Amino acid sequence: MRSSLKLTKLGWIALTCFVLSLFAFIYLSPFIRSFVASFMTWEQASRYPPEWIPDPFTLENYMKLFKLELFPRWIFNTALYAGLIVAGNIMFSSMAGYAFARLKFPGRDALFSALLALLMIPIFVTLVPNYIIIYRLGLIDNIAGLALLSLANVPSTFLMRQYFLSLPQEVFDAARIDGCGPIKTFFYICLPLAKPALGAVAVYQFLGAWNAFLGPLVFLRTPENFTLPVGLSFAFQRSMWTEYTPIIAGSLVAAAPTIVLFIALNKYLIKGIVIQAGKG
Amino acid sequence: MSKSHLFLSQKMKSLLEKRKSREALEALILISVVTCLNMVFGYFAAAFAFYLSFFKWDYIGPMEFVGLKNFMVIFKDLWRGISGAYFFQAPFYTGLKNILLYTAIVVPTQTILAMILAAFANQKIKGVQFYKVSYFLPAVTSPVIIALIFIWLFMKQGYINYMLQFVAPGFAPDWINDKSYLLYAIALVAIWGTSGHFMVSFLAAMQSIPRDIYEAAMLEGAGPIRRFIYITVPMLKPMIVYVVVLGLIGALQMFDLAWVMAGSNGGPGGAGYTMALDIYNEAFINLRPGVAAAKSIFLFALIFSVTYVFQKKYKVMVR
Amino acid sequence: MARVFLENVVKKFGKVVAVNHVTLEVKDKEFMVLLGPSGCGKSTTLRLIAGLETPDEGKIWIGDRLVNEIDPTKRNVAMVFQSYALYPHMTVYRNIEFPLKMARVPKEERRRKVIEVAKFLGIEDLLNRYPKQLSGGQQQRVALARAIVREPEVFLLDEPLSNLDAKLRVKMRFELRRLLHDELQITTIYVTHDQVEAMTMADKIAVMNAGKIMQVGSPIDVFEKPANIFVAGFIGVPPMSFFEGTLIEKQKSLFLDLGSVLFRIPKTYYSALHPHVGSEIVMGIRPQDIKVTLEPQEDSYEGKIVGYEPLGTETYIHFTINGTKEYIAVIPRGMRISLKRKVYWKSNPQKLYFFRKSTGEAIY
Ligand SMILES: Nc1ncnc2c1ncn2[C@@H]1O[C@H](COP(=O)(O)OP(=O)(O)OP(=O)(O)O)[C@@H](O)[C@H]1O
Ligand SMILES: [Mg+2]
Repeated sequence: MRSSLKLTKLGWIALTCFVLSLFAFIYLSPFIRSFVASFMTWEQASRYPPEWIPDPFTLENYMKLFKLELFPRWIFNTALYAGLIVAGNIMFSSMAGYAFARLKFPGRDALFSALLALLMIPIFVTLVPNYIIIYRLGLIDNIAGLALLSLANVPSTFLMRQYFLSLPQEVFDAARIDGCGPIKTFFYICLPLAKPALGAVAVYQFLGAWNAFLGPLVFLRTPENFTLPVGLSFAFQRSMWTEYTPIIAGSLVAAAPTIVLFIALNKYLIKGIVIQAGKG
Repeated sequence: MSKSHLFLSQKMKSLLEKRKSREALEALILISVVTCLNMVFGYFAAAFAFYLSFFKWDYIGPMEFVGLKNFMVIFKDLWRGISGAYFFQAPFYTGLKNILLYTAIVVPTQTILAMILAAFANQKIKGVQFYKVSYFLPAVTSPVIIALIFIWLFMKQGYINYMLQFVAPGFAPDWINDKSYLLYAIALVAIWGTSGHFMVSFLAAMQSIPRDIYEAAMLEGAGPIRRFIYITVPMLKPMIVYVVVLGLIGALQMFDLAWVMAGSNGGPGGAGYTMALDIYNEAFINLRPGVAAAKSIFLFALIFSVTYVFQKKYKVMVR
Repeated sequence: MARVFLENVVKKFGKVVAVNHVTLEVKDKEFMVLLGPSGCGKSTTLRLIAGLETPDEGKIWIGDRLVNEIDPTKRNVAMVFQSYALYPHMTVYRNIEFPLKMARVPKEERRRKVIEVAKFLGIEDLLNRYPKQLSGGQQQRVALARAIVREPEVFLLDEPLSNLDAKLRVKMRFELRRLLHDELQITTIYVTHDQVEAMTMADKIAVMNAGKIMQVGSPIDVFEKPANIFVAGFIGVPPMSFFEGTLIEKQKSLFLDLGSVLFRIPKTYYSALHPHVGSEIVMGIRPQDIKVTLEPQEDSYEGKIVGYEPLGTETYIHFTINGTKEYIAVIPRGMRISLKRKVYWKSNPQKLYFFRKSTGEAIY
């Protein structure tokens, strides 16, 4: 009796490990396969059945990539875009999050609900009007114009507000009594205390901006101004290289910052996802 | 004149010294950027889209009021599609049909897969963090990059067909270039890309279910499968609703994967054409912003009603 | 000169009336304790004075200034919070310095003052630590230092001792009063729900209940001459025993009809109580003033023990007379008692309190 129970338990553990490992393989193998192939010649990478050891080992793909003058520009543009978005959201959403969480002013909750309601509107609805607005501002084909659209996101404001609500009210009260007005309190007390939440906002906004496609596709026009996702899909569709391996190498270069960031911060990021989901 | 000016500035000053108005004023400064940007690029833009949907325009010339004509374009297209017209005559219909099929495949599959994986991971085994990280990795990678990599993996003589040969010998379609497989290829990539993310959400929800509930069920003799069906799934209901709603919103406006894997014209026979692609094409290729606006309102109505009905049915609100 | 005066102050949160027509005067240099059960509006009153809330009605004066509309930064009050509310990202030094910095005090002077205050409170060794590296008692001192350093006109403390352990609380209670009242001589308003704290520290106690002030007076007054049933029942450990019944007169003597027994009321109370003959009244006796014996004695009444709590030095017993209502008495240790045992009790005839049942107001 007892030994059969033990046996089924062992069976379960074996099954669990098998299933989890199988899926780990499924999720990881495209990355591994691409990584290996990026050091192969296209001739070898497209051989069937697939080969796993680059022979000859070549950096040709990466060299081709950087020989194309556009590619470093795309990296720069993506970094600039992500930097603007991260900076804007850190600054503006923390200010607004604090005001919505801790200050009293008429219409506060109604306004905040109105901002949250915006999350229901699909981006495709506002795409054309925003294109026209940015066009009128003369900011089409301009990273700054593109960044303006998501400089102060509602989700980051929401996250900051939740964070400030979770801090004890007494600290804010103490600052008021010690002689800080609301804005001074923000700079002296809120910002230093909000480091963890600001970090979360920064990481999420970075991932979002670095990976963004639709916005850059619509608002950027000339190849010199593209970001990596738009640039790579452009390179693919124009068949800039006769071989596919440079595209793979380019994809890996483009994915590298997000992957490195994720692996470095995985515990923290996964927790953040969980907190976000918890609000639902 | 100067007297009234003085009076006004005095009034301003006393206003500033008053506790309430000072706090309100500083609060307004703090929220100004977020509010202005979102009012302009959110509410004003949405209102403008609504306005635009009643006009014929080419971005340059004068706007011409056409009433419901733009919406008639949609319904004529749908009607032609229902009567069996080809993709070129009924692109919107094709996009709608494809996206509904795609959603019907992706959302249930990724939700159930995520839940099952989470259930497996929610046991006392080593290396859970490793599994979480590997499942989550696709979610932090740009869909465009994922699509580019998968185009190569999906080639006729590619990696996926090679692996498939062990599971289903002889089954080796040309995924990307065959119109009967393209949409499924896109769906598979989407499932691969998002299920890991949702698995992590489910796992967190499962870990917050009190252990003693399971222990009680175990004493009553419920095995692991029945425990999953009778305890875990009901306790997870809010999380399931959250995941499904997020999945629906994402799937119904899918754009990136289709753009790269099928191309903006939808690939062979429009097999990979979606509503989102169609809106993009109307707005920026056909230069009919009015029609694009009307179509985007249709998309909004579709997403809103589907998620609303779903949430209503399961009585859980998701922001 | 900083007198604090609240005039008919009302504060509502939605439907909850947290502070209900409160009028309270705190004289210059006075140590006023606000005492009341949880949720009665003590903190709200304090926050109104600090300016963290605005009153819905009424006026608040600090010194000669009407401060209703004045920003908390301009009121020159200091506050110590229950959780101390130290700034976690600043060292102790920066914490104490912060209010001076906000007041644009020059750097050198700030430094001098911080060190002076730190020495005064015996925390000069802690100046480079962060709040989370401090014990509860040390945090409390830092919070005090931060409040004192500005030399405020009014000092507000909201349950500052409630996070400390019992021993430290007794020590700090004593020190706090000496510091604020005897040495600094600042007008202080101190909120607590602990009556021992209130009795030992206060010049005056204001007892609050459900947003209203029930009585203001010196600790002795509040204890000896409670203005109503609430104050009588709230102050004193264990709480006063209340006997309810109709007041009747027989042969020139007053009796309280407790149902099964007639309690004879001593002559001293005759003239005060006479107008109330025939009405329902409540008699209160402090448990310490009820004498319980095992054998009958002169003027004693029967009772039955339904429970007891031995505390070591003495024992509280719960007894009934005839029915279910329980009364408490204190007996010396060593007396042999057991459950359900019949006992005899009598009261100290000088220490009886009488209240109107309808309003709860004290008659005598
Ligand atoms: N910001 C607020 N919003 C709504 N209701 C409040 C708020 N602050 C206090 N209240 C309510 O006002 C009443 C009085 O609260 P207050 O904090 O003044 O009580 P207290 O006497 O300090 O109690 P305690 O001893 O528990 O601290 C309570 O019923 C409380 O629920
Ligand atoms: Mg309180």
